[in-house]
Amino acid sequence: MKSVLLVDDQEAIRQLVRDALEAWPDQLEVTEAVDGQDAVDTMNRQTFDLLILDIRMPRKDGYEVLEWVRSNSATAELPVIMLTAENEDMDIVKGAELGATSYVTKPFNLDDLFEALKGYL
Amino acid sequence: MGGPDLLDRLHRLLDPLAEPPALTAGDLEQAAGFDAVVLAGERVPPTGVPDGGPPCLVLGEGGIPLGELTGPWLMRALAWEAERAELQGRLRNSNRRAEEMLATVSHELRSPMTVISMAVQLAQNPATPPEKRERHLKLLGESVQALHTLLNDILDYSKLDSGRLELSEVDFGLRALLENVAQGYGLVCERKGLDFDFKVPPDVPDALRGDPGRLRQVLVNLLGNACKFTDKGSVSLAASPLARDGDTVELQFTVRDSGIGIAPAAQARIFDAYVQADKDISRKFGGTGLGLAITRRLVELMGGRIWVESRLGGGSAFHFTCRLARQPAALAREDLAPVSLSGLRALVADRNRASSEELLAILADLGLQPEAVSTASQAAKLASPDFGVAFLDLDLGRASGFDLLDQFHTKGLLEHMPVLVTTSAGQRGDAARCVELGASAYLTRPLAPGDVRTALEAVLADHRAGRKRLVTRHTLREELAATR
Repeated sequence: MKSVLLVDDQEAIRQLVRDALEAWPDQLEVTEAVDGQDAVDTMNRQTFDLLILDIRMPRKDGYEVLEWVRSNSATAELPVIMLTAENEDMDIVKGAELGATSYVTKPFNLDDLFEALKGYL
Repeated sequence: MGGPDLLDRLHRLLDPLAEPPALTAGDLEQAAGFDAVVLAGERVPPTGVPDGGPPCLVLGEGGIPLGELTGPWLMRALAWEAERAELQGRLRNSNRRAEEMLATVSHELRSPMTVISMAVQLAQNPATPPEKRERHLKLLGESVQALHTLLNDILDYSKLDSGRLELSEVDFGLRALLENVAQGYGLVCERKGLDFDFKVPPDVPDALRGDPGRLRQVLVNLLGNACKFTDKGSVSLAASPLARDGDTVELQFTVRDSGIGIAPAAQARIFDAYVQADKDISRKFGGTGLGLAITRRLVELMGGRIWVESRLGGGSAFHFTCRLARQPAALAREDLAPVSLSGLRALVADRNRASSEELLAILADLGLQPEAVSTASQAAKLASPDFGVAFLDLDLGRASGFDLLDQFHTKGLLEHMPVLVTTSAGQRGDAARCVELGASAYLTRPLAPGDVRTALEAVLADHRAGRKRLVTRHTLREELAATR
């Protein structure tokens, strides 16, 4: 079973994305983190197959988490889908420079999310 | 070209919205032929061009040559150019802020839109179990509410900005409003593991007239921020009366938290529209940056002001004042109601031990809780709004007695603690000085228990009703005669 870490500070979005992921044909194990620091703490304890990461969050934002992921040998190769309301070109470029694998902007269709997931799950 | 023709041309050029073209080599060559050059409102070399003096070439911002001028024409052109440059700077700042606001608002719209969009898609999926569908609809409802709040903020700001927002005038109970708001934020704090403190002293009037909805909006904005930016410690809400003036009352509210605090440089800007304390705050906590701008404008509409005391990492205290009308029926009720002396703390400042003890005994018999001091410095140290009344004897030394009264007056203590000045040796001019320094009564000794009681009741009734006058033996005799 593939494991996914879902990081978003909004509980409603975590719940809905979790429900969407649980409807994925292959069974997925979804773990939630409530902000960037919680995500880093969780990844220090556990390994994952995919990271779905929001940007605007308290304590540590998505860019800081992404930098940590790429600089850490255990997570350096982890696929990261940025799931965020930032859609300025500069934000996408910044995400790509820091090593984001894919980028889905809010609001999105579930089909867009599934399309992004396809390559990694 | 010179004189009025050139001024006319300058006038047309001084359009604050016009972007000046870049300086060309030809412009520089032209500038080199003149004795003085003015660039963007600044003369080089320094000012002092006499009438009929050498002509100067005026260059606008970015080096645009505005023309050749001398003496007074030059001075007028300089003033226009400086004004234009300042106006253009302000417009640019305003445009930049509006662009930032649009970007932030667009981001803030995306979050609830995402929830709505996903909830609808999941709820429409026939494979979604009914219990999940119910949860999705609940999330959808909450997001619609969040969008509603956001749009209201934008509309409110737009109305406030163009002066189209008017406050309502209805009777309301302040305590019920505050208790209701405090109850909601008490729960929010409890969920976050924060302590919540709520203090409204008994001298805060309850029956008021104004716009309770907008007062609530101000409190909710400030308490919402306090909870949002505080992870541990406490949040508190307090209210106190500042001044009563006939049928209106000025109140002060304070929302305090032990949260992340605000840097000194940001404190001056946070009440401007579209501004958050810094970019990091916006990134980490969200929000449009309109909340405090709306709050400030609403407070100003209510005849008050708002300010912040804060230290980075050391929490914040937002204070605001507002003027509200008191309900006529309540004023009439208060005027008729007897004044209660029971349990009232009284400060007695008197150097003479015998007269001090005599007054303490009278006050204790009347049910007050008197505390005595024998010097002006002790009195200054002990005085606080917790005292309901003070007796100040000029035997402390006439100069130091009035100095002490002046200190109470300056610190605003008299709004909470009316002062009765006593003396065993009245002098010409004492009463006028008492009025000037805000004393409530001026009484010559000896003081019989009946005199003290009557004077206290008159002073406290005046204080409660916001009446300003000096109670003396003479006014008390007149009132007594009138009631017979």
